[in-house]
Amino acid sequence: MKKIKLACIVDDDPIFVFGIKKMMKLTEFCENFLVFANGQEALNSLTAIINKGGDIPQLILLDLNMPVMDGWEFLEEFTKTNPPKEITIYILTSSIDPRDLKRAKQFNRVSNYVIKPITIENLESIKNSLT
Amino acid sequence: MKNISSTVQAINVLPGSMAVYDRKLNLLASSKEWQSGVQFELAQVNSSKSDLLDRFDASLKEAFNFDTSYFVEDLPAKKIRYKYKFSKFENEVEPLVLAQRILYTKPEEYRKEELLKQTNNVAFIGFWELNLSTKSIYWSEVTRKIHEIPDDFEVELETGINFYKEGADRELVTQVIDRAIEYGEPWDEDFTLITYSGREIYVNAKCQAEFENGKCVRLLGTFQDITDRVLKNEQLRISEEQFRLAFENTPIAFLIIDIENFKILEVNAAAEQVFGYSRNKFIKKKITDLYEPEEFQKNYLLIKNLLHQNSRKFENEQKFVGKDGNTILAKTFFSLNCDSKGIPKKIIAQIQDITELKKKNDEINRFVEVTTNQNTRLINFAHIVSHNLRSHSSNIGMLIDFLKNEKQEEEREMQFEMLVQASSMLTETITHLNDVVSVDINFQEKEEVNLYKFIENGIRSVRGLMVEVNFQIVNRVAEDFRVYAVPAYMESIILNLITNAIKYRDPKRRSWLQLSAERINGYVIITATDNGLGINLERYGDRIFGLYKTFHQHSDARGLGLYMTKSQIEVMGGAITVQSKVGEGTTFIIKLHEEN
Repeated sequence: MKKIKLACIVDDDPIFVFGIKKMMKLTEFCENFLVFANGQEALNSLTAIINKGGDIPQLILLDLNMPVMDGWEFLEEFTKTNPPKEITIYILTSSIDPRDLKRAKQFNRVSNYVIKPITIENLESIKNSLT
Repeated sequence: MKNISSTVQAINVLPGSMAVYDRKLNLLASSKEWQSGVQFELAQVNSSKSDLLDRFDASLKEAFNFDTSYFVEDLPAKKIRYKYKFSKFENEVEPLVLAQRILYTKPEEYRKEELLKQTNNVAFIGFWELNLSTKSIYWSEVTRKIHEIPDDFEVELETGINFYKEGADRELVTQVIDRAIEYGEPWDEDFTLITYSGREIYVNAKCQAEFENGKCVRLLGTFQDITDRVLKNEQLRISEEQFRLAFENTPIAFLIIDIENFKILEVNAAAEQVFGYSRNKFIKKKITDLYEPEEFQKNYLLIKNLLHQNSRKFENEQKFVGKDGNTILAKTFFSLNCDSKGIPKKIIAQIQDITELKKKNDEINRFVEVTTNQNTRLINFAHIVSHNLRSHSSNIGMLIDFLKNEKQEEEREMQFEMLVQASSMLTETITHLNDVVSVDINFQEKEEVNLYKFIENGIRSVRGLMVEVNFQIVNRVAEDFRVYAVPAYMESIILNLITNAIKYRDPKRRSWLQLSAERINGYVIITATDNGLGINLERYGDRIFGLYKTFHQHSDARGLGLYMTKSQIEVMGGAITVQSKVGEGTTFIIKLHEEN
């Protein structure tokens, strides 16, 4: 089974990041990944990579509730830069607030909305949908 | 040819227009003038004049039966009137009638009479005449119409009087007629009349008596139907009575105002109640004296405009000042009162005191606002609780899953360490949530607290930290400045403002926070200004006070402090706002009610 070349995790929770990294290894999810602790860091780095023509991630797993720049703001700013089509964005959150789900649907760059906790099975189906 | 006596023959040579007829209506003799005038005219009679012939014959017959008779003939074209007079006399053999035609009125008199007749027809004034020597009554056409009698109805004194309503009216008319006959007293009275057709109407009759040789010979007068006028007056009286009752008993204050000088002309009881002035005090004032100063200009112009508007009325809300200097909030309706020609004379101001209503309404609105706020907070809170608890619990679940399968000891230790961390974070979150809920649930009473001392205590508790990071706090609040607040909340608010200012100081500058307080319009305004990092309000806006929202990359930022501060202030009925500029600093402004 093919691996995703580069995945990107935007989340401020170190335990969650530890867990998903471990699960990604177990499922041979991707070859490499980028981790950002909030939207601002992710936005700065990703736009720099895109501008320089570097390796762009195929997948962004985006948390919503983060300090400095939250997931919504990241989505607004990032979609403004008209990012390459091959980047797929998944929202990955603990929020089961229907208002959040409704808001997520307004961004057509958001492919799916996944509610934590994430499982091995979740990761495998995400991988299958991309490769 | 009959045998006519020489006396009768003599008519032929007498001056004047006369003729003699016998019972069979044969013309026995006539004067020259008759022959050339009446006889000629009667001979000329065509269809339109047949009336004259009929009346002539009728009167002639009448004279044979009743000794005398007459009728008049109007000739409007010539502006003259003829009187045909018939008198019976006894000849040697049979009764005969002498017919005479007399010029009854001169042209100018005729015109006057005609004019009067026309006027009377228009005004619907009738005439009546009681001839005491013949005991006969004459009713003019209008009088007859008022009585609704048929054309062939013969009027006599008795039948005439019987039209007056039995009782007071009939007694009165009898009485005044008797007095007029006896003493010549003229009268002018209103009566209730029952017409021939049985309708009850109101009439006015006037009377003059004519005397000859100390004896009354004739009563004559006018007769007028005044039913409409009486009924209208009665309606007017009823509606005036109704208006007066409404005017006096309504809870709405009525002020009647002179249009020229705005002086108050009349007020009702409600006005005295609403404003506290007695009627006598009111009528020394102008409507404009009753306004709150800031309302004067606006309402003065509105009233002035009334005169130029088509609608001639306006309604709005106005503020007045009562006798005790109290503000009266009122719903008002101003309209113009015009005279019969439509010229505005008075302004009628209806003033409904809604001060209490408004107060209650405001209270309800405030209550709704508080409830809505609380509700919004609770909804947000529920979602945040669920989000935060879920993220910790899912981490714990995930770590336990790892631990179950983990073989490597080193890895196990790390995962266990994380599990401990996640567990303590869950406990911390629950503690936070408990704090948040307690603000909404356990409302505590406000007390009068010394703000200066609370700030000093706050400063004391962070003294170590201040020295460490070289931070300065200036307490500019007056030493005796007191404020109504829940002491525990005030302590927490001040400590939070202080620790926030230290936490988000700009390390490139010598940092400070200044606290001050003042009283403005019934509010206490507490201001906290720092020269810290500042915050981009355009970007974060109202989220700054949101729960678990953090904006700086700060390891100990929990996103709880400002949320708690705002909740505590709102629960005390106050408000908090923020002004900030990135790189310059932040100012928080807290507004609390001065009174408890």
